[in-house]
Amino acid sequence: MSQLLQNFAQGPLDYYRKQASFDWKKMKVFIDTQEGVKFQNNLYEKLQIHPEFQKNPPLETLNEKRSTATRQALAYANIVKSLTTSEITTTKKEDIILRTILQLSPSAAFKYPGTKRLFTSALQSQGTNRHHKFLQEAESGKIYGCFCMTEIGHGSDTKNLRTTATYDKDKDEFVVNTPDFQAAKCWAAGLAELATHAIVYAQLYINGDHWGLHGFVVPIRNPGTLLPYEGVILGDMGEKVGVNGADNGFLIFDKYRFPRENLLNRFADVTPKGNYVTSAADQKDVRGAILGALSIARVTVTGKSEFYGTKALTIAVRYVAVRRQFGPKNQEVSILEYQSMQYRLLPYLAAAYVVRFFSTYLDEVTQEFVKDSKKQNDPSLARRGMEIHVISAGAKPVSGWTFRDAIQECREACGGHGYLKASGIGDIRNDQDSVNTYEGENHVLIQQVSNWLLKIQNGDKVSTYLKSTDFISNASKILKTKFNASSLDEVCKVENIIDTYQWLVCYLLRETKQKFDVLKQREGSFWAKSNTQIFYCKNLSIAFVQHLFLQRMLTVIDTAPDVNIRNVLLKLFSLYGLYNIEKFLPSLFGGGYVQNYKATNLVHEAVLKLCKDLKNDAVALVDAIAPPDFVLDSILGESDGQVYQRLQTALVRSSYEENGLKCSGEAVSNIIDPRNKL
Amino acid sequence: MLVRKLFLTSNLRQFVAPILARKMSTSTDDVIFQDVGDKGVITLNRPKALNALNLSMVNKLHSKLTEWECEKSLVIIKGAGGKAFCAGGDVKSVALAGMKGEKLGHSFFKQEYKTDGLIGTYKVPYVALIDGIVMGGGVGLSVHGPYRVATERSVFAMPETQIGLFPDVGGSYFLPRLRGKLGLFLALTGYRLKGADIYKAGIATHYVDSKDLEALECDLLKCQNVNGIDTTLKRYSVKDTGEFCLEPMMKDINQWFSGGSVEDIVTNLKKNGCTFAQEIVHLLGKMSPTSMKVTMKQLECGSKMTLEECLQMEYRIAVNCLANKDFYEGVRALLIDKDQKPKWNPATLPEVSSDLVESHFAKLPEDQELRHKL
Repeated sequence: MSQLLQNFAQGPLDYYRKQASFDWKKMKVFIDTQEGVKFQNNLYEKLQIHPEFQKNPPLETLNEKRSTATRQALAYANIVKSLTTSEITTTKKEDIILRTILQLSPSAAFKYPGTKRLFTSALQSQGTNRHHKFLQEAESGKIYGCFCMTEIGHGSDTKNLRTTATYDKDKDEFVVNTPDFQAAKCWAAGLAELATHAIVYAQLYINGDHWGLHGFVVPIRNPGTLLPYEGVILGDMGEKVGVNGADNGFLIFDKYRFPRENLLNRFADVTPKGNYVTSAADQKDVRGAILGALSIARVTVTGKSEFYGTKALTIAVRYVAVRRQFGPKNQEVSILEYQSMQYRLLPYLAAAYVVRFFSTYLDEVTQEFVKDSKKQNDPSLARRGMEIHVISAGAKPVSGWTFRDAIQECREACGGHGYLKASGIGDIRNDQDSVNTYEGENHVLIQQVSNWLLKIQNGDKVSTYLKSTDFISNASKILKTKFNASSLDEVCKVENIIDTYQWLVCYLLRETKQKFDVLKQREGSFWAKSNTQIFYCKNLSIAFVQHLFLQRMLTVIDTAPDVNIRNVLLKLFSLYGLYNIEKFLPSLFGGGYVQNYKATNLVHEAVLKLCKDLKNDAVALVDAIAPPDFVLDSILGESDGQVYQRLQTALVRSSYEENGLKCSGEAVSNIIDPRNKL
Repeated sequence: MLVRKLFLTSNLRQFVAPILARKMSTSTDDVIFQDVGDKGVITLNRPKALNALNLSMVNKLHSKLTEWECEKSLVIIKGAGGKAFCAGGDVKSVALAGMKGEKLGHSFFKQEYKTDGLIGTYKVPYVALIDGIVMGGGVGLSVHGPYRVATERSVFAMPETQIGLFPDVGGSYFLPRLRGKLGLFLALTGYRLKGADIYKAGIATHYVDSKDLEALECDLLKCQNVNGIDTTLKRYSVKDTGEFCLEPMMKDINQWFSGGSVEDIVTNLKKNGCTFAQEIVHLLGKMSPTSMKVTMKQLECGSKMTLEECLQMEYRIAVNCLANKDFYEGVRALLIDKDQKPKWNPATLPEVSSDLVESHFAKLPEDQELRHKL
């Protein structure tokens, strides 16, 4: 193990590294596996010396950012291809490949063909054999795909998308058309520069009959010249808040024609004579099947927020460990010693571990599901698929919001220096931000969870493939239990936390259902659904997802390689659980689970105690999940802790490079009239 | 003496007016291109400057080689004058221009490296007759091709660390691929190899007698195919059964130069204390400390990169060297004032920070990079 992982350079972080209660190398190997670490090492070695991944000069224009991202994405694809991967599991390998490119260059991650999952998974899940050639060509790099669902005027409301595809029997072709600018497809990554093919969702018309939303694979650019075909109007979304190297674009069709066979016909087909054929009962089912098939691609998004969050936490934890400010008797202390700093960062560090284990698990069960769906036609597969769909629809927002907050907290924890571009945190924040909206807007998406849970009837015996809801079978029994921890130790116990969460989910489910039923009578189900979101549906979904996260964490803890690692993981478990339980205290009181303020005090004290217990482990916990320094690319977060040395280099260099002689006042004297005083 | 020679004035006209130069009689051309049926012969023709390369020459070489790649079945390159194949790049002109704020160096290095890259991936057989001096840029024009023919008059070196530069022209590619730590040794010390030793080091692929060169060229031009070229070269090859001159020291060299840093290497050498080790320490003492550290990193990286990636990296280093002082100081001390006493800045190895070394490898602005299509 010592050969697999090198020690960090000595420096200001040594103090905390020596205090750690566990061996960070063992932890890292536990998380990434031995083969995974070997694979990482090979990948890092190649990346670190590759010309395309050396430090960038400040990239000014969109064009520079775009071409840099394109080069990096192609170079990355070549590097990944060149790596031999004998023993590593597919999930682990994919995780490392995506994590590394996203942490190294988020824009390149958008362009890296390996991440074009929406395109390929739409072909796989909605297409048939006749679309196989597109898959092959996409995999060999001959064509480059993008995914066009969202329009300018409609996003989440897919039913009302307005692009049309009309069947022309005489020519055996579809004519796709954008009636006006609101119906222009937009945001698709790859559209502005690279994509040769687009999966396009459009309202199908045959002989004037409307058949609803269907997917098509549409050639949009000549793969040789990358020029758009006639009838295809392509544009660029322009500058965004983050990931500006990604080429998000818009797309307008002017009565553009393509062959009938390009309809993705797994769920419904059009015959050459213009007959509509489907096995689904009605239009709603066809649309449901199409959208359900897409959710598989969303699974990786849960992890993405954690990739960003882990990067920011690495920077902030190392920085606050090195930074010294104030102290008793003129002895300055590291700001990690302060309670408020511990409370601001450590629960998020716990979340990074919890979510990481969970998203790995979600990836695994999804891959298993995809594999099983290929070989058998089991009716239970649909239910299994639904469960994965719901869980990913909940995990993505919960993870996204958690790390959105974590990254902002990290920025503030690093103070003014954290506001420097060179700290890296600002870019991480802006890049992560997009995750909360793309591939399903968070607030719309998370409704899938409550919708699904609300289908469970009182007293139902529930048993699902992933056992996510099985405990709800005992709801009536669970709802009779009370919070009964009376000491700090008892509050932190696994049982207490799991029991509390199970009570919460059952309680919120009951309350939400009651509220919904009342409102439905009064205002109909559409508004009833809308008017139960806040405090009810959303809280229910979040509690449900966090409970799942914690359950997964427990399974992982059971396989811990030694007692030290087990203990620190248990602390992270308790901290994540109690930190979030604390936010549910109003519900816990409201439902009578906790009955006096002693419980509140216990939870508060337990959170603070866990933070304090974990502060000496914080640096080592970060070391075990941190990307290497060249990927981290932050003057505040490097593994040797030489913060001030790097700040000096960065500041001296930036005033030299950016301003040249301007600091002399020359620049100002050109602006200010000497007759006036400054 | 350093052999990167500089002839500014006499060839000034060729910088400013290569078109004009082409109109002049071929005998004064700095590069002569001869069409011999479906074969081409290139003669580097600045014998007084030991055929040192300037911008005019690399421009012509690049465009003609590109043209010939589609037309010819064989290209031979040689030097005029019998003393040198090519003694390197015309760094004095580059430095003098740089001192005046002109960007000759940027254009020159970019075009030179592009030419080296072209040779490395050349689609038709390319034979370099490296008779006489072959250093720096001359190595770049030969070593990446499949056939490098040395003679008893050949003298090889990569002496760039002496002038605050680094072993470029694809040095990061071919040097770490020589046996053991030989490449790093040659790169840091600028050590010279002569005659058959160039072949034994693996830098030349063939070793022939210089008096046979003319006949060899004639026969090569008669070859029908690659087999013919191979057999012809084999026929002219001279056997030299002697030991490689560095063979007795190779074990030591490998050990000394396996240090993790240039400082470690110097410590290893000092610890040993034998005459040879002392000589090397003395040699290294003359080199730019920054250049040595950059060189070490460059070779480390280069060992795992393609030639094209290496050249892209080297161009970044070159641009950074052009912006730093050591290169100008090195050229001043060795080629202009010739006091042989460069004042390096930083002056010692420990003063060269890893940040300074790293900064040489940073990307350039988008529009300045040396690019190959992906």
